[in-house]
Amino acid sequence: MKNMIMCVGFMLMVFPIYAQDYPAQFKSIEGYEIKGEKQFFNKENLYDYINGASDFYLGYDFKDLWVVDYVNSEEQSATLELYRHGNDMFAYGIYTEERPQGVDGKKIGAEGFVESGAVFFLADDYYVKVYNGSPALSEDELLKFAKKVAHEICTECDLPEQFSWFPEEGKVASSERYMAENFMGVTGFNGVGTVVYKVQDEKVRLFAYKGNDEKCRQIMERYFKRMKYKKKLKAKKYAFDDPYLGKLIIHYSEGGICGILDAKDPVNYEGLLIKLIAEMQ
Amino acid sequence: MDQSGKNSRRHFLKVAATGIAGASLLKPTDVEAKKSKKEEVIYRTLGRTGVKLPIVSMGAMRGDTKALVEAGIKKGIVHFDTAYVYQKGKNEEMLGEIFKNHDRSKFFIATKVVPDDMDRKTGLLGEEATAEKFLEKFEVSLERLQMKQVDLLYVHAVSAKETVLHPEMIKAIKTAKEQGKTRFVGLSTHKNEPEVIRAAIESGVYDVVLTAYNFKQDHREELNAAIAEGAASGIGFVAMKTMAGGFLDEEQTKAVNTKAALKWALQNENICTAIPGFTAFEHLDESYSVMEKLKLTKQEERDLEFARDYAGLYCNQCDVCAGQCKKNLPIPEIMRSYMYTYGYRDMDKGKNLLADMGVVNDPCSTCDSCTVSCVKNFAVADKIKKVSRLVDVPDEFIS
Repeated sequence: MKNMIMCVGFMLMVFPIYAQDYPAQFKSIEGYEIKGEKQFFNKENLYDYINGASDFYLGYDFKDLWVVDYVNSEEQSATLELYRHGNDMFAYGIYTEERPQGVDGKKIGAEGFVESGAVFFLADDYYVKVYNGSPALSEDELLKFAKKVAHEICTECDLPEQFSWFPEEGKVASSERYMAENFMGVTGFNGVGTVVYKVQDEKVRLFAYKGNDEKCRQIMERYFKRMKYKKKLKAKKYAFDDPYLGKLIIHYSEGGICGILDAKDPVNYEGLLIKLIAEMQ
Repeated sequence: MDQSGKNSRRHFLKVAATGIAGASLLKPTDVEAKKSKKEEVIYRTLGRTGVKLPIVSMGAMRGDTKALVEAGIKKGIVHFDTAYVYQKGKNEEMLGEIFKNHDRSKFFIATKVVPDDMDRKTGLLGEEATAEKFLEKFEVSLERLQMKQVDLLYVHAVSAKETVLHPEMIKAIKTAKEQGKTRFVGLSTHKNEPEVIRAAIESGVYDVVLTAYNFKQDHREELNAAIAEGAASGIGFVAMKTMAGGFLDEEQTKAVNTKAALKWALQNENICTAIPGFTAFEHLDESYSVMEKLKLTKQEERDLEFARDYAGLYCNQCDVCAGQCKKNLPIPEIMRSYMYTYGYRDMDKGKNLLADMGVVNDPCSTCDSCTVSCVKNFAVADKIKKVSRLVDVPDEFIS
């Protein structure tokens, strides 16, 4: 028994050390060497690195962060920030929180963009930021470095499937968002995809969620309660004039909820909604 | 073998129970805020600013909370808090879109700017932390907010006295105020709060301190003292992180009683208002409803005590403290032993782990001060002293 406890104790003692090992795939990025001390942050101390912004990251199931400097043979350097989240959807969620709408997306990992000389990209469950150092790399070299890092995470990186349901027509570029919790202010309405559409100068949002049917029913019933709507839930479209969200359409069918928000008259966009419903099924 | 009783199981449990009870909830001040019977909203004054605010305000933390901010406005919330860094500016932009459609004079809007070149570990500022760069960021904030003036500008995330008193930060906030771009100035702090608050008093410049403040903070007595000193000197206090993370466990299965947690913070009349971040309408309703009966019920007190003990018992083995002890004690393992002993009541397991690690009774006795800094603010030396006594308790009294 004691041997077993000792064994368990030993395993538990050793585990955190492994848990904090810098992931092997980033130890040797071709043409670069690690320089200086590597910094590690977890849920408890992320605040020390990014201050109040940490709340957003924690909302997307943040796991850990490595901050590491790399240098090439010409002594040019870059700082790599590797934010690891609970899964690819959470990583996508925090990535889209920070991605400017309409930005020119680049093929780095699943997707990336450049802003103020820094590179930001998504690859599986990682949200990665690459900042230029001093002396600086050229933008082209910085992008190449970012792509090498992305390649170490996934060779065929893709955006989450949830967004393939949304119709292409009228979609605003880079407007996809993943709402991790309490979408529409409804407790438990977690993990919703939204996309902005621009139709005749009006911007509207489509949203979609898939889950087990019991969960979908609970969400709908919570929303009905808020709207003081007392009829029995059926698989169909519902139109509401929400005091906070305005006019909206919400559609429920077994295992799925979707709808239209932000439109003066959502009925005008039912065509988009019908396409979304068809893709979800 | 000592069987005098001093090292018996009963004695150990008695001392252990005293230790747990001793760590029970301490209220910041045991006074209920005054509230007129006719009023539903409790107002308090924000220090020397003279501004009266409802005790419940809103941290507008998320860009998708536009409807929630509108709901907060309808509810009666006056003070909204944002920051330059939130969502890379989307958060300020969202508030800007909302408040351009409202009578700006009826609201109290605060934003925060992080100084450049702040050392993440020490909180100290480097040469790049200039007033000019700080004010450049603040201009961006104003632009995003579509405002010529905010009510309150904070220096964001201050954790060192030197940063509070840094000439470039003082110059920056004074300039912003003189230019009429902010009515009041302050700082926000989430670490070393008592030191930061006392430095803010010393400076005589800061009107408001936004501080992390919740029932789980181990150093809350010292923090209460610093807040009281600050309030006496005219500083207004706003509380954040009142929900202490919202959950007790990493898996988020054990929720904090958030209403009780908010009430706890607001028991301290030196706290003018709190800025919980809402993501659901029911959270907004629940938080706002604390004003109906601000005093904690017995059940709410019990919930908070449970939550506090839970937090105080469970080391998450982050290992950040590894190597910090000057005696090279295996701190994470000793904290795990503490959890087995006081949390799971499994003294056998706790003792075995200590024995495996070669820990002796009261290993800290020859140290004058503790060099270990726990990210959860565990009183590490105190816990080591308590649990290490177990190594001298005979096995037959444990098994």
